[in-house]
Amino acid sequence: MNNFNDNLLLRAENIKTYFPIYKGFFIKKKTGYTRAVDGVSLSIRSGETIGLVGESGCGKSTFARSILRLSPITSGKVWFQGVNLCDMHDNEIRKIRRYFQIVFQDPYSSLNPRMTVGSIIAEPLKEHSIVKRSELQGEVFRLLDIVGLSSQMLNKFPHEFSGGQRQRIAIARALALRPKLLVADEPVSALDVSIQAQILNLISTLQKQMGLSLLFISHNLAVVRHICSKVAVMYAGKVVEYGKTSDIFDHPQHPYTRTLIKSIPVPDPGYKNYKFNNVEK
Amino acid sequence: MALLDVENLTLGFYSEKNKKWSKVLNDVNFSLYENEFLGIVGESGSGKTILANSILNLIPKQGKIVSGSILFKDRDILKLTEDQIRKVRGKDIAIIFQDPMSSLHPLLTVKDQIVETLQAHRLIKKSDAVEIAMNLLRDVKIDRPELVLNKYPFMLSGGIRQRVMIAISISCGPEIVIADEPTTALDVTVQRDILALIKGFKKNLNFSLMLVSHDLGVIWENTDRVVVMYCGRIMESGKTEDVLRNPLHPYTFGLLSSIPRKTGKKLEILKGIRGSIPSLHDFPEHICPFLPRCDFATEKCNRPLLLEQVDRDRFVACFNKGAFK
Ligand SMILES: Nc1ncnc2c1ncn2[C@@H]1O[C@H](COP(=O)(O)OP(=O)(O)OP(=O)(O)O)[C@@H](O)[C@H]1O
Ligand SMILES: Nc1ncnc2c1ncn2[C@@H]1O[C@H](COP(=O)(O)OP(=O)(O)O)[C@@H](O)[C@H]1O
Ligand code: SF4
Ligand SMILES: [Mg+2]
Ligand SMILES: [Mg+2]
Repeated sequence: MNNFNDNLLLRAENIKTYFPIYKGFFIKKKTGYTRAVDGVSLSIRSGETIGLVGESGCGKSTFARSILRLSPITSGKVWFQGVNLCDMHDNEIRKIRRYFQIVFQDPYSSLNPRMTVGSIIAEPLKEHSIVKRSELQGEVFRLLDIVGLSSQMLNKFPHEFSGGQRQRIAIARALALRPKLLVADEPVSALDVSIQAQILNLISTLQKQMGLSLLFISHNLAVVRHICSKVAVMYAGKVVEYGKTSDIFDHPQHPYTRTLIKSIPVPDPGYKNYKFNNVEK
Repeated sequence: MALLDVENLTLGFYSEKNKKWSKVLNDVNFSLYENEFLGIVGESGSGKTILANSILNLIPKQGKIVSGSILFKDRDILKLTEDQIRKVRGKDIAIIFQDPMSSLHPLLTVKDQIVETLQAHRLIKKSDAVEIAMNLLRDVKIDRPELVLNKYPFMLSGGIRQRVMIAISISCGPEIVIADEPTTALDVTVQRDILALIKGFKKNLNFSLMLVSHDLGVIWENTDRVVVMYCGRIMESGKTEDVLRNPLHPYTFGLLSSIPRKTGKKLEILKGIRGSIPSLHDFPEHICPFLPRCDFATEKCNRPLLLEQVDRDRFVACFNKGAFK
């Protein structure tokens, strides 16, 4: 069961996350449950890129939050390096959490508006004593450089940045702890295609360089196809289809997957021949 | 003949903070023809919403028309009085906003909002208006119209709300519908249904649609012609098929090469566009605005840009058209 060969990094087993539904305003009565995640199992290997797709409300974010123990789960197990995260105490979790980092859709709400970019990135480094005090500044510069921001931006505040730049800051902060797994929850959904391309390039380059595992949540199938080697399709709290990206896109089995694929508006696939070898003919 | 002609439209915005005027729309020229679907595409901040709103003369108070006209049925919309424009809005030209929540009245039921719009433009009894409202909801494929009719906007899902907005927009038989990112906030499957719905109406209702979107896929699938905007200017315009298949402007090319596509071999790095769109008060005015981000710039580009006609119904604003080919 908790077999960790095959470079298995994390294994979620039969995760269920239910939220109680209350009726009444003054006297609250539990009338049932929202089965946000209803028995999902997923293995993530080192360096693997897995896409999680499905319509709004199907449970993608809740699943991600559940396996990172950011959301209390109803039942199920999350194995990481031979231990079940669900059995861990909160203070143990805090130590282990540096290995799992998450980047959200709206970087604005996840960045403290009163902190400068420099201190936003330095904070986790200090908290987990990742580098010596004397090396702190150098490490922040290195991280800024990795995500393509200049060191002159160190003393600016989040509101002084564009959406794409803020997402770069959030990625720099997530990478500060040298995680093994990066969960990206709709990281490019709020961005223009041009900026989306920049962030996708950044995530996929870093993923390869650092051998990160990536759980990439999105409702944009074209993006998932581009960045992930495997895809899990969620519908109403369950994974209805899982497999290699090419199989899912070329031979979808589940009717819901087919509907989803049919719904992507694609610009004409065959626009004219250009000199660039990295653009499709 | 064109139904709507936007000619040399330049709109200035004053910034208190910078004590400075900037051109949020700069010499915009295009036509909307009868019964066509026209797309307006560009990154966010390129001026699409400002342009869409100008057509209804909805100009924020810090804005001032510097020059130009918007001709609709031989009248310049920009010269109409507030009374005259109110008769046009909602009746001849309807608008659907990105966030239906902000344009639906939060304290009125769906029924009241539709009835109010109908009665503002037509002389009809309340009971007839309710009847029409019911049929409109059926037209926008709402399953149980009688249930939705008595609901408040916040009680509805995003998709249903947008259907209600569409019902209101078509209620007075408009000649032009302007849809500003009508599906950006919605799921792909819902988005597809809503766009199919709008397209379906085109057949029976004969209106022209101006579809504002930053999604080239949506533009490709739903429009006949397209206008590509950047920094308040038109970079390129023409038949959608020509512009997206055979872009002549490096900006259009950059947008297209930002999209992950299906390829035999996996694309590693998307070509895309470097940098990002400047904020309004940094829009370059006396040089090609795309110059700081353009891979094909030459010294030629250091001068004021002009939109040139290169073919019948094909316009491009670039000194090195098609340089990337
Ligand atoms: N804290 C919570 N309390 C109660 N219900 C919740 C909570 N969080 C999520 N839910 C419900 O659980 C279901 C799954 O939500 P979740 O946010 O995981 O969906 P999602 O797939 O991430 O959707 P989206 O694409 O919109 O981000 C929804 O019905 C949601 O309303
Ligand atoms: N009410 C306003 N006051 C000041 N600047 C504005 C206002 N509305 C839009 N802008 C600015 O005008 C430019 C164009 O905006 P907009 O038309 O909303 O772009 P788009 O719809 O293409 O995203 C942007 O730089 C934006 O910040
Ligand atoms: S005019 Fe010059 S800088 Fe502007 S888009 Fe064309 S090549 Fe690029
Ligand atoms: Mg979510
Ligand atoms: Mg807009």
